[in-house]
Amino acid sequence: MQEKKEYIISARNKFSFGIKELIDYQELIYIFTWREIKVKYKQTAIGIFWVVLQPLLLMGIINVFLSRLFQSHHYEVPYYLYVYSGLITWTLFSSSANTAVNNILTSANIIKKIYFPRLIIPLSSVLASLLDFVISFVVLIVFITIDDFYLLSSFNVLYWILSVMVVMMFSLALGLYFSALVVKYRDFRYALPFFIQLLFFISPVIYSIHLPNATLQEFLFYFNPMILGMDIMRKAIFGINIQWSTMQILISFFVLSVYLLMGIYTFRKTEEYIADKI
Amino acid sequence: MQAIIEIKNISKRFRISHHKQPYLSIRDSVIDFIHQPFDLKNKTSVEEFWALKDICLDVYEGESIGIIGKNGAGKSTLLKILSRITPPSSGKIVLRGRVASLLEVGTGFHPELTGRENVFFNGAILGMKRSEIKRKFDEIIDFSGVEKFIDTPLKHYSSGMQLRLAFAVAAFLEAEILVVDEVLAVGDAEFQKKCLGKMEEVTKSEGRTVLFVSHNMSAVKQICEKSILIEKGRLSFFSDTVSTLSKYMESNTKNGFSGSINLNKNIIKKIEMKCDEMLSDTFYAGCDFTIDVYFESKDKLEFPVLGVLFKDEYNQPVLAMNNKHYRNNLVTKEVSSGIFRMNMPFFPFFSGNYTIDLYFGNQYRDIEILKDVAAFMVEQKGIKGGIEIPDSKLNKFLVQKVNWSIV
Repeated sequence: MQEKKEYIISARNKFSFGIKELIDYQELIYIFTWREIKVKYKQTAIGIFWVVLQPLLLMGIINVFLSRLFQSHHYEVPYYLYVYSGLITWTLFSSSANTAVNNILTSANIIKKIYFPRLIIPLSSVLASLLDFVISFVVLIVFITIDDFYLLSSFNVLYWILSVMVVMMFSLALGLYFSALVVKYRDFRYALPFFIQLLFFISPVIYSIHLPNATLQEFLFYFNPMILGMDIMRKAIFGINIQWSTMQILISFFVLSVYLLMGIYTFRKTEEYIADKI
Repeated sequence: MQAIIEIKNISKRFRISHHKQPYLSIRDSVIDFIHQPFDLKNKTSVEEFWALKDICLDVYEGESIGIIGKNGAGKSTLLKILSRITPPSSGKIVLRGRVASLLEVGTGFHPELTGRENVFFNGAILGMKRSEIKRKFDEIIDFSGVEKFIDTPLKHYSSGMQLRLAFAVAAFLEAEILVVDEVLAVGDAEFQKKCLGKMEEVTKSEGRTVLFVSHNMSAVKQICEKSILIEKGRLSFFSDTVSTLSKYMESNTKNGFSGSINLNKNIIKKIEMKCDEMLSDTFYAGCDFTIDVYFESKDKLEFPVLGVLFKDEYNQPVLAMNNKHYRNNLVTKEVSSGIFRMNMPFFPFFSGNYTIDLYFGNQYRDIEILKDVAAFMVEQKGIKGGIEIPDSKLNKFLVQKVNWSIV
C-alpha cells in the first residue's frame, strides 16, 4: 500500500499564519477573485465604467468647490490630477477593506458548509479591487497624456508597485482585523466605513498634510500608512519628492508590517470557530 | 490494515449563552455589564451542551458507513468536524486520504453567474482543480441535463434545474473519502433515484470510502453496508445497516417498540399494532393490519372519532383516515373507555418507513392529538393473494376493492 498523506484533526492546533496552506489553495484565491469581479458588475448597464465614473465625478466636485481652499499649497502638478490620483488610490484602499468585511458576512453560508482557508475571502476581495484601480489608473494616464505629455517621463513602475503594495497591505490588515471582529460583533460592520472616513481626513488624498507641530505630523505618518502609500504613489506618477527621511520610511514600513501581522493573527484566531459563530 | 479514517474520542461542546440574538452587539455587552458589574457568577449564564461525546470509529478503505439518528443527535456536527469546518472540543481524527465533503449541493452558487461559471466556482470550492473541472465539464453538463441553458444566468433556472446542476458537479468529485450529508432529500423522485444510482456507483464500483447521513432509510440501505446510530451525541450502535436500522426504529418509539406502546396520556393510554393478528412493527402489503387504541376518559364521549394519519420517511402525510369517512362505522353510544380498533384487512403500502399521528375526539373536535406515536416498517414482499408486485416507482399504495372486468 502506498504512503498516503495523513491529516490530523484535533482540538488544539499550534498557531500558524497558514501561509503554506494558502499556497496549496492558490487556485481558489484566483477563482474567488474572479467570481468577485464577475458578480460585481453583472446586470449594470454601464458595467465597469462605474469604476471610473465615481472618482471622476468626485474629482469634478472637489475641483469646482474646494480647489480655491487647497490650491494655496504648491502641488507641482495640476490640482485635478493631484486629486484624481489621490482618489483612485484611496478607493483602492477603502473598497478593499470594506468588501473584505462584507464578503465575510455574505459568505457565511459557504463558510458553514465547506472548509477552505478563510483568509481567502478577504484576500480575494482586496485582489478584486485591484482591477478597478488599474482601470481608473489607465484613465489617469490618458489625462496626463492630454494635459502635459512630458509628465509621463517621470513615471516609475517600481515605485508604483511598491505603493500599490503598501495600500493593499494596509487595507488587508484593516480588512482582516475588522472581519475577525465582525464575526462576533456586527457593530464593526458599521464602524468600519466610519473609521475609513476618519482616515480620509488624515491622509493626503485631496490635500497635502501640513501640521504646525512636527512631532504630531511624524506621529500621524507612522500611525497612518496611507500617507506613505499616497506619497510613494505620487512619487511614482508625478515624480513628487517624498518629504520623509529613509529612517522614517523604514519605521512606517515596520508599523505597517505590525498592523498586517496583527490582522492575520486576529483573523486566524477567529477562524477556528468562525463556522460556529458567524 | 490501517484505517483510512480513525476517529478517537471526538467530543464537541457548544456553549449556549442565554442571549436571544445569535450574535452580540457591543451595546448588549455594555448594558449587561452596567446592570450587573459585580455579578460575575451570573455573567457566565451559559449552558454547556455536548453535541458529540466520545465518538470512536475506524473506517477502512472502500467501506461505506451510514450515519443515522434523530434530528439534533449530532450527525451533522460529526460531518462538520470531519470536513474541518468546525474543530472538535477534544479528541483526534486521523484522515489518510483526500476528503471531499458534500454538506449541501450547490454551495456558493450565485444567481447572477451563468451555469458554466457556477460549475467552475462550485467545483473549485469542493476541491477540484481547474484542469479537472475542464476535463469533466462535458460529463457534468451531460449528467445535469441543462446543456441548453449553460450560458444563462442561474437566476433564470428553475429550482429543479439548479439542483440537477449542483448535484452533477458533486457527482464528479474525485476524493478518497466522501462525506455526504442529507443532500438527496430534495428534488423529484426520478432525480433522487439518479443521484442514488450515482452514489452507489461511486461506493461500490469505484471503491471509495463514504460516510453518508440520511433520513431516507432505503437510501442508506442501498448505499451503505454498515451503519452507526448516534443518539444524543453518543455512538450507540454500530453494525450492518439492516440491524442498525431496526435498532433505530426500535429506539424511535420510547419503550423499545415491537407493536405495543404504553403512552398514558390524558385519554389515549396504549397502542397496539398487529400484523395478521400478531403484535408487530413490520408489515407487508396485503397483510391484515390492526391498530388498537386503548382509551380512558373522565367525561363520557359522545360519538368518539379516531383519526389515523400515516406519514412517509420524508414526514409527508400519505394517508389520513377516520371513522367518519366510513358509513356504518360511527360509534353511536356514549362511552368513557374501551379499545378503539381500526382494521384494514388489506394493508395498502408496499415498502418504506412510516410514522403515525393519532387524532382522538368527538364528532365536533379533536380532544387529543398525538404526533409520531408509532413508527413501523413495511417490507417489500409478495402480496398475499396478489399476483405481481406493482412498480413501486409509480405506486405508493394499492387501492383495495377495485373491480376489474371486461364487459
